[in-house]
Amino acid sequence: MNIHDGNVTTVEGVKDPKAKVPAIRLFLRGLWSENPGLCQLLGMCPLLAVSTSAVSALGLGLATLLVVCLSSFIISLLRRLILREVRIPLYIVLIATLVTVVRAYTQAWYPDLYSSLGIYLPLIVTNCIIMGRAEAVAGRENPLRSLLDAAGAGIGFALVLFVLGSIREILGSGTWMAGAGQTLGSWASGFESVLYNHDYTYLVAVLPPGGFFVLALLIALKNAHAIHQRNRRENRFRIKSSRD
Amino acid sequence: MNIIITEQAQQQNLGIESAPHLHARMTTNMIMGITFIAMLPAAIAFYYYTGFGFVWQFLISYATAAVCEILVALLRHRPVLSGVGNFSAAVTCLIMAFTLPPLLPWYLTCAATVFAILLVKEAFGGLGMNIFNPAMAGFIFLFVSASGFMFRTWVVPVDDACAVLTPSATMEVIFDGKSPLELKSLLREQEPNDQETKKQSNATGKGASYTEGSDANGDAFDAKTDSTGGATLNSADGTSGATATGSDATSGASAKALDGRSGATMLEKVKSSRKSGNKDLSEILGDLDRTPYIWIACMFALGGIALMILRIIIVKMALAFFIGIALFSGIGHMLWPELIMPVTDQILLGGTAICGFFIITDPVTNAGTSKGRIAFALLCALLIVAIRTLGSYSDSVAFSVMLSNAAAPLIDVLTRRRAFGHGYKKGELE
Repeated sequence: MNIHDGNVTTVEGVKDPKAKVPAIRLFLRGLWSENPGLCQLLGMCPLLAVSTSAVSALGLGLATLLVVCLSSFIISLLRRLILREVRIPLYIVLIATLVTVVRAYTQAWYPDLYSSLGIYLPLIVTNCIIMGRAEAVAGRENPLRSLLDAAGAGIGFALVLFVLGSIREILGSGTWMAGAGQTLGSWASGFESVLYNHDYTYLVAVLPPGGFFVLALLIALKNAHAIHQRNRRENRFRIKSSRD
Repeated sequence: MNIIITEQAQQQNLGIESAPHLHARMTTNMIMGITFIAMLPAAIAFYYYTGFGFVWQFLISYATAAVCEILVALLRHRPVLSGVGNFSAAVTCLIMAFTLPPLLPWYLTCAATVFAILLVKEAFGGLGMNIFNPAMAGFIFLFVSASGFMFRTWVVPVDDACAVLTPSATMEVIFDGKSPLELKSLLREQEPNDQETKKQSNATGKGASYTEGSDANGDAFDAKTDSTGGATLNSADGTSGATATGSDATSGASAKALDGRSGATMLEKVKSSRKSGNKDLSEILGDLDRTPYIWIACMFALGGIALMILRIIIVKMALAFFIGIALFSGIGHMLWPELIMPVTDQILLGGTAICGFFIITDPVTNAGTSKGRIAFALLCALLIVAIRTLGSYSDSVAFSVMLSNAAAPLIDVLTRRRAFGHGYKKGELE
């Protein structure tokens, strides 16, 4: 590697370390390459506890998405007013306010969802994803970019939650989106489906160990994909030998 | 860049491995093969007392394991036959066949084997790297997932059961989904104590009604699990569900008749009687025909002793285990005779015999030091007695083995030997 004029020459071309990440990458990295559920392993507690069914997983995912977007946007607006020394208490007060609002809204409009999420809805306050986004991006970027970044992370987390909840529900109870009409509103009742008989279900999937197993398998798949990509990139430079 | 020197290439290039150049004729595969053969006497006893279903379970399990091993070998770019030719999977499957109910539907056996081989063994790095015993993990997977099935398909060991549970009859139950109850009622006619059975069925009409409605009960039970949703469900619910279906079958005698009908294991009977507040265990254990259990345990002991002579399993581990069981249950039985079974029944019933000789002695998942192995065996024995008494599941061997496996690294650290030349005085260079 050569360093001159502040640029770094790598095998993949010249890079400027101070260059801003393009906005679209800011959004996409939360979805895949820096997914909070699969790569950063943040917010594990709600991820494992709530994902026993697809509906409650989706509900919590959407609530988290809402909170992370709003908090990032507002923190980014206020970033010049917030003193560095007391930023964490201020972030927490702000996030707690937002969570209280979301919680009251859910309790009023989706009482079934509220009761199925239980303690995990107010616990969004302590979710590290929100704090992480506020700390890493919202405190130093402009509101639009912060919003994009938070939306990426929130959607990524919600997707992982939903996939995990779907797999666990399908394996554990043989249904998919059961109770969607009641919890999310009548529009969702079309998604409710019973896939197979109870004789073929594995109850362990909806118990806590099942959550760990399914999440571990999802992470393993993600890592396998990443390693495959890396090997393909690196093997472009490999000298072909006669043994191949 | 990927520069990988395979072990084989290293050996070819360098010719020699590092010292010491000790040579042992015993390979891992041979150890596993001998272990497999040592379990065959017990397998024959099992076939005689529980019928051909046991053999089907082994065949299903082994076929699944072979497919899994081939898959893993392909993923690891190893020779395809390396996994299949290995006896390790066969030993795992045989232990699973011993522990699973003989009339279990085939897909559940497949699922347990896939879980045991792929997740518990291969995901941790394959043979020699797994931290939990695969067979026990597979058993627990099913026990937690489909406890209703596990209870419906148990076969109580009965003299000459192989005459009733023929290959074709068991095949219909295992593969075609026929209800196992017909076969079980046929089996019951074989029981020597006819008078007893008659007395029981006369005394409580509930037993008969239970037999008829048993399938429906099973479904109701499953529905119940659904309604409880994510709540922790255990087999205790199954037991209480069964007891509840017998409506007023709370007294010890009718509970006994009920369990005799449903073919629950002896341990399950003890558990349900304890739950119903019955103070006298001897009432249940008294009229038990122990011959099948004694024969099966003796066959396990025979295989175990053969392995000890060949120095494949560690003698003091098995000894410590049985002494531990005797000690803990002896003391416990003296103190709380209504809670803890006497020593002989602790050893004969459930999976204690196979556990002591073949499961805790698994070289991969037990502790590494000599003292640690004894501690491991004692811990396992203590857990077996404790979980049998206090736990809500009837069988405790699998759980105890898994817990001890989890504790094995800690035991290793606690029983670490002092390195030569160090640590003579306190506070010295360590």
